[in-house]
Amino acid sequence: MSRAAVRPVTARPDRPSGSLVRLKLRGLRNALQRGPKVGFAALALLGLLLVWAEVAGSLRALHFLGTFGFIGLGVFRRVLENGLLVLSAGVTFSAVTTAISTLYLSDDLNFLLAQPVAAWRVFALKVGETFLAAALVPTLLTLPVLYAVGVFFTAPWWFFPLATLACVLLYALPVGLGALLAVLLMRLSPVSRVREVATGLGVVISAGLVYAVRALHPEALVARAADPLQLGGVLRELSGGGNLAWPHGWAAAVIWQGAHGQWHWGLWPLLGLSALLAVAAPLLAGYAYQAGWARSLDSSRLRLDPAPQRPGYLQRQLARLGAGGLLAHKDLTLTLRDPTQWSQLLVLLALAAVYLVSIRSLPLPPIPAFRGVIGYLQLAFQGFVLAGVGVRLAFPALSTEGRAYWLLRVAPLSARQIVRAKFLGLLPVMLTLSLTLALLSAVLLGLGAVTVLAALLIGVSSALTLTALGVGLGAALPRFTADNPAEIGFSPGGLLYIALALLLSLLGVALLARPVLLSVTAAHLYPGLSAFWNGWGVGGLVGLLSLTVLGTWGPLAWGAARLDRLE
Amino acid sequence: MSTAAIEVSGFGKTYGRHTAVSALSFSVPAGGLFGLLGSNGAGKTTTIRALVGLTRPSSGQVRVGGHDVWKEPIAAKSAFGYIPDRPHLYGKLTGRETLRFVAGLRRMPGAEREIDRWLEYLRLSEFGNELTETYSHGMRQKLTIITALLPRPRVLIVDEPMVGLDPHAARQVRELFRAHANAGNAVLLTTHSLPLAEAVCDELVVLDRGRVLGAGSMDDLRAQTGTIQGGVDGDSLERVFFRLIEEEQAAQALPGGKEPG
Repeated sequence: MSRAAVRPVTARPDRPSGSLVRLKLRGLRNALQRGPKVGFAALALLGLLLVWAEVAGSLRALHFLGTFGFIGLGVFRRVLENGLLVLSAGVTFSAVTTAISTLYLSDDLNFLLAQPVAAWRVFALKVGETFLAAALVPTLLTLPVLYAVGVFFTAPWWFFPLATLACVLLYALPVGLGALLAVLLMRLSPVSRVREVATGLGVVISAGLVYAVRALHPEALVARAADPLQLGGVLRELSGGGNLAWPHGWAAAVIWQGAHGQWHWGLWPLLGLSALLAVAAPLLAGYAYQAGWARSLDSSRLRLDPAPQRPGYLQRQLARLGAGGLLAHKDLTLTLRDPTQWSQLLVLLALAAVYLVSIRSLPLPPIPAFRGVIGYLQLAFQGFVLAGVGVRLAFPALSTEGRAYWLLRVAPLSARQIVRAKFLGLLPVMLTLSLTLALLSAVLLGLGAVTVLAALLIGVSSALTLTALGVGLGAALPRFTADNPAEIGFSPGGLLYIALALLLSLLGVALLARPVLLSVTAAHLYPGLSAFWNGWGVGGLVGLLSLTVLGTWGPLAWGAARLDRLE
Repeated sequence: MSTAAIEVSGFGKTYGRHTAVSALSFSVPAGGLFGLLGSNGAGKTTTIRALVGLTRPSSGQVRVGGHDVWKEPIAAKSAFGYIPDRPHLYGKLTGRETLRFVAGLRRMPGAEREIDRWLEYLRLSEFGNELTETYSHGMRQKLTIITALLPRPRVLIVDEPMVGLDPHAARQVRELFRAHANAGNAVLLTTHSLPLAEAVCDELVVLDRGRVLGAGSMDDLRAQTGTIQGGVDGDSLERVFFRLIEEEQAAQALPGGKEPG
């Protein structure tokens, strides 16, 4: 039973329109009118804050770097160019899987193709949808920075539409390529395989990005910049004309020159390539769809085997634990069989590895107190890494039940049992990651006993609270209809999780800061672990314990209560 | 047929200002097969969802197996099996794994043998080791039916059971429902298929816009419509159903007629 109004609505005498874009806009308007107004308002506020932070931050950076003359501004330009590269790679990462969903698996595709509308128009709309799904957020994130550049250089009026166009064209390229790649992949294998291949490509691209970031050796750059003999070379490199062999370089050049009131030829290849892909992608997608290239849409080849497969050892052992064990085994099986889930974890593990390598390479002076303080403060950044994993692992734990959640809801299980089982199933993973990061970074930095113990305690606390927060918040704000688990983390609830997780991590670090500071700045007064055995130390430990208990119990209880009320 | 396996008393559900179901009461005894009929939007699915713990009643009480579904959910849910109108399952689990999971949640002893038997019965044995994402709609529907019947529930609650089933499976399922009721269990089903309801149901409730238009056995309904309108031409459930709807519409058309719930 829907909540739709009972009274029949008299249709307005609108002029009938065959415009597919108008159809979609009408759908969007209806969604906005009937959606949760408070949620939209909160989202808008969050967006405005983000835009303000971007503009203010960019202007501040430009003013600061501007004091170093053209070299400083050149550095900003290179950072902008690299930012465009990273975001383009991000769009490429999601464009292929998104294109498969929109070009071949959309619910409305058959309906639209059955209408007297040219197929290329339908697929042009679908390529447009792919752009919105894969590139809208990067575009909206980029534009405030570009406008801030224009404002800083008091650019002419035409800079603003030009910068918008350059940005859209830049992100349209990977979307068009992704659509074409999706078409070709569909020719080769069934949908499920295509998704795996696409995800594999995404992992390769992300791994390439991680490698590229590491290849820059930022710590080596810092070291070179600190050397007066090498500083000139570094600055010359940074203030150069940029990379004009690739689209991100063209876009950066168009934007930078435009901000100075000058045209750059980079716009033309950007425009030409995007137009070519914009025409080719819908035409080829339409042809491929109607020619039956997407063969798995109609049939799938099964290797039927009537011999029953019995439960394995792990399943039998976990089943002994009751509902929690069964749920844990089911979740593990689903995760391992779904490339969209495990691939994200691979990327995050790579990021964790990069973090540890970066920690090892930190250019720290050989002063124990300094190393101790920095080594302790980096725990806050570990919270950020853990929050990044939590938003992809713990927060979607309930949402990934998807439309099959009814199976749990009608089973003799309470919402509390479901939430607890999810928490306990994920805790070992988060705990392992948290303790590994804490221990390895402590060993790599050669930290003292108090700092190591504090790092371990905060590691345990963070694992408990961040897992509970993710599972609880995810249970309170589930998205059972999400097509791709990756999109769950980017919902308003996911952003809230990251903000709260960072806050919890910072609180944990702040609570034990005093004893750690005493142990590294006055080591002779506080030998061994004695820094913990004074008022500050005991207070900090009690505070951390309270934070852990409340931060674990509270979100789980709240999430279970909300899940129980869910209809 | 003494104890009520399903008891709905004064059940109402509102969404904001919209009333989906108003003051609905009926009971299904053990051994009975009960049908909820009605047009789209009549309130059938809302009632079913309240009975299985998916939608909280705005007023009234729903009890299954002697337990209030919302006050003693675990006990109530242990008593029933549920077949939803749309067979959403975990796509990355095989059919056999899905059934094993359901059996585990309900702590069923000897589940493996029963799973094999059910898969064989509904001609799914060959597909038991395949991921359910590769199943057709009808195959998913069959698997959903097994998830409900596997634990041998005392109460079976079914929402539109025949969608997507081939004629052979449809007949099997009809016979299953009848046999389940004959074995002393209660079955409640909603359906748009009037021939199905007429063929298998002992008692019926006809709903329209959240209110009861008629209730009882086929004979009771025939008597009700015949008495009020001076006899119906023909006695099929289809005729009875449309007569009830027409009566309601005629009553509303009168000055000061009843407002829809």
